[in-house]
Amino acid sequence: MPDEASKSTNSNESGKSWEEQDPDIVREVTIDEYKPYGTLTLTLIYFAIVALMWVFMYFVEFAGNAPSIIE
Amino acid sequence: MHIHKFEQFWIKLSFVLIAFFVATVVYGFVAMDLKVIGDHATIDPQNLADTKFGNPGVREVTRNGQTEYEVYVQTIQFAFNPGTAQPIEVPVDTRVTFYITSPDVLHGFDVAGTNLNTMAIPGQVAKFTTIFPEVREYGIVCNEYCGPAHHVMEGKIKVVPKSEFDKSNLVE
Amino acid sequence: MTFIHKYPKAAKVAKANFIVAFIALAIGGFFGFVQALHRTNVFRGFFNSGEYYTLLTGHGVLLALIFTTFFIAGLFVWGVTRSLDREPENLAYTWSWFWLMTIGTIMATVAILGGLVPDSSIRAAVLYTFYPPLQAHPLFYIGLALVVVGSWMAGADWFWSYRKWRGENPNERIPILSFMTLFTMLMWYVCTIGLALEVVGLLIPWSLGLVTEIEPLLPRTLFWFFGHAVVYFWLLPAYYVWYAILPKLSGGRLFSDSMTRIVFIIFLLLSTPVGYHHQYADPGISVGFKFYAMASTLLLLLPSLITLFTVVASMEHGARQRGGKGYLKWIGKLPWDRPAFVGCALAGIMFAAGGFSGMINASMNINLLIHNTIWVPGHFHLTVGTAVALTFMAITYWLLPQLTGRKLKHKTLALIQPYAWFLGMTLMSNAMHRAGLAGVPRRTAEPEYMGFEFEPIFGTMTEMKWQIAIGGTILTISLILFLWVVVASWLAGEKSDKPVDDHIPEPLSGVEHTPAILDNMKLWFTLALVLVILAYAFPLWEMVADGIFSPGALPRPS
Repeated sequence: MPDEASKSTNSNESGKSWEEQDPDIVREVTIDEYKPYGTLTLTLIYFAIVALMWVFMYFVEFAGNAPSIIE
Repeated sequence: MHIHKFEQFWIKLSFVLIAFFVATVVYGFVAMDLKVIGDHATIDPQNLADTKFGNPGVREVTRNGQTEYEVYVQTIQFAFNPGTAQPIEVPVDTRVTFYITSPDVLHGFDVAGTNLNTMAIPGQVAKFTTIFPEVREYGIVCNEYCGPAHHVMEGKIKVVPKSEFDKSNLVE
Repeated sequence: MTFIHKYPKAAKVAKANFIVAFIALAIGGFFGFVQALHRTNVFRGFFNSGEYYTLLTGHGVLLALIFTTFFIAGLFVWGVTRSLDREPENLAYTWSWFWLMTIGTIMATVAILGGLVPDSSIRAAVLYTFYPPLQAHPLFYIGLALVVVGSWMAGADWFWSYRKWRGENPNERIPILSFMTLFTMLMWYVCTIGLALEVVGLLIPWSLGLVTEIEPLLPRTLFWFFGHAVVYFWLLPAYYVWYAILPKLSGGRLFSDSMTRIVFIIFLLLSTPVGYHHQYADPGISVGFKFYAMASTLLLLLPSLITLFTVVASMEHGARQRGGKGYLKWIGKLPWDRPAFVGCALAGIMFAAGGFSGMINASMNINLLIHNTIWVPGHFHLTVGTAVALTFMAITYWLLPQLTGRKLKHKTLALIQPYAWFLGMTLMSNAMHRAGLAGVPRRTAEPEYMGFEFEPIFGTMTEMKWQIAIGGTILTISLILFLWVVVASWLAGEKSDKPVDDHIPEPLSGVEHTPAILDNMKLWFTLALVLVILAYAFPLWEMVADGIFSPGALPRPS
C-alpha cells in the first residue's frame, strides 16, 4: 500500500473512511463545512501578544538601554 | 489553488507584522540613532605594534570644533587592554569612538547591561561611537568563547563627570 | 502489516540511524546536565572550568549536528520508502552513506573527548561553530566533513528513489512526504556549499599545517552561510511531522496540501541568503548587507506563520471530529493522553514562544541587546532544543513500533516525558532569556565577574540560577524516561502485526487543488541559487580580493 496521503481515494481496504473506523471520532467534518474559527482565534491572540511584546522590547527594553551605538 | 479565506486573512496579517518589524527597525536606525557597526577597516593582526593599537588607550581629538575621545582597545586572551588592568575612563555626555581589534582569536566586547556589543575579530577593526549618559561604572564582558580561561576575561569602563576627567591618563 | 513487514530493508536502515541518533542524544544530553549545574555554580565537581568548553563542544556537536542529522536520515528513509512504495534502490550504497556518517561521527567525537584526557594533543574545544584561529585537531574537521558528505549521499539516495518512481509514475504528483524530504535536501545542498568551502577549502589544510595563517572573518562568514540554513535543516523535518503526521494524531486531516508545499519552497529560497543576521555585531560587513539579510530573515517569518495556521487548523479539525466545540473549548478534545500527540503539540507551543525571541534576534539593531548573551541559547533551546528535539522524541513513540513491529511499552512514562520536558524547558528557557537581557553571556563556564554585578530587569539572579539548574535537571529526567521507554520497547515490546495505527489520511484540501508549478524542483532550486549569489557573491569577493588567507592570523590551540 503506497502512501495513503498521496492517493486520491478517501477510503482504505474495507471501503470505509478512516473517520468511520476510528472509535474516538464522533463525526466527519468535510472541507465545505469546516470553518477554523478556533484557529483564527488562537492566531489572532498570538498576533496581539507578539505585536505588544515587540513594541515593549523595542521601545522600552532596547531603546531605553543606553548607551547605544549611535554611529 | 484552494486557500481558505481565514488563512488568506492570516497571510495578509503576517505581511503586516513583517512590514511592521522592518519599519520599526528602520525607524530606530534613522530617527532614534540605534545603529549597528559596519565595515570600517582591515588590519594586520600580527603587526598591531605599528598602529594606534600598539599604544592602546584613550585619545583626545577635536572634531567639528568639539572635543571628543577615541578609545583603542586590544582584546587578548584573556584581557581587555585597556579595561582589565586599569579601567577605561571617559567623561559623561561626550562622544566617544571605540576602535577594537584582536591580535589572537575572536573575542566579544559587551558593555554589560547596555546596547554596546561588538565582536572583535583578528584582521578587522570594529568601530562605533557612543555617548555615555550617566556617571557610573560598567562591566565589560568577553561574550565570545576565546579559550580555556574565557570566563575570567572582564574589564571596566568608568564614566566620570566632565570636571573630574583626568587627562593625564590620555595617550598620544 | 506495518512498515517493517512491508519494507524490512529500509526499516533496518532507519533503525540503524536512530541508534546512532539516540546514543548521541544520551551523551550530549548528559553533557547538558553537567553544564546546567556547572554554569549555575550548583555543582562544579564533575569537571573543571577549562574542561567545561570540551563538554560544551560535545553538547553542541552531538545534539545539534549528530542527533539531528541521523534522526532526520532515519525519518526520511521511512517517509521516502513509504510514500514512493519502494525499498532503497541499492542497499550497498545506502549502507555506505550510513557508515560514512558514522565513521565521521566517531572521529569528531574522539577529537572532542580527547580534551578530557590530560596533556592530550587530540583536542577540539572549539564549540560547534569552530571559529578560527582557535584550532582543533584535524580529526574533528575531517570527521565533520565525512558526516556532511554522507548526508549528501543520503540525499542523492532519496533523489534516486524519486527518479525511479517518476519513471514508473510519469503523471503522478510528488507524494507529500517525499516532496518535503526532497525540498529539505535541496536546501541542504545549497547551504552546505558554504560549509564545504570552509571546512575542506580552509580548515582542513590549515589544521594539517599546509597553510599557517587564516583570515578569521572568511571562515566565520562561510560558517554562517551554512549556519542559519542548518537550523531549518533541523526544523523542516519537525514541520514534516507536524504537517504529515500530527493532523492524524489529532484525529483530523492536514488542512491544505498546497500551503504545505508553498511553505517548503519558501524555506528553500530564503534559508541561506540570511546568514548575516548572525553577524550583525561583526566588523568587516557593511550595514547594507546586514539590512538585506534582515529583510530576508523577517520574510522567513511568513512560512512559519503559515505553518502556525495550517497546523493548528489541522489539529482543530481533529478536535472537531472528536466532538470539539466553541472557539477555544475544542482544545480540550485533543488527545492530551497520547504521548506522540502531546510531544508534538507541546513542541509547537514552545516554538511559538521561541519564534518571538527569534524575531528579536533577527532584527538588526535590537539584536545588539541580546547578541551573544544567554538569551540566544534560551531561544534555541525552545526551537531546536524543543520544537525539533521534542517532536523527534514524540514521533519516535509512533515510528518505533512501525520500525520494530513491537508495541510501545511504559505508556505512562512515555506520556509523562513530554510534559516533563515542557516543564523543564519552561523553567530553564525563561530564566535564560531574562538573564540574557541583563547581559549575562552565553558560552561561559563561570558567569560571575569580580568587578561588577549583573542587574536584572525582571527577577533576581538567584532565582534565575535555580530555574536553570532545576529546569536542566527535569530535562535530564525527561531524557532518561525517553531513552528508557525506547530501549524497553525496542528490546521487549510485544510483537504485533499492527503495533500502531500507521494510516495517514489524505488532506482536506488535497493535491488535486495544488498547482503543478509547485513541484518544479529545477525552477525553485535555480531561484534559490540565484538568491544566494545575490546575497553572498559580492561580500565574499570583497573578503577574498586581498588574498584568501589575508589579513592572516596565526592558529591558537583550543
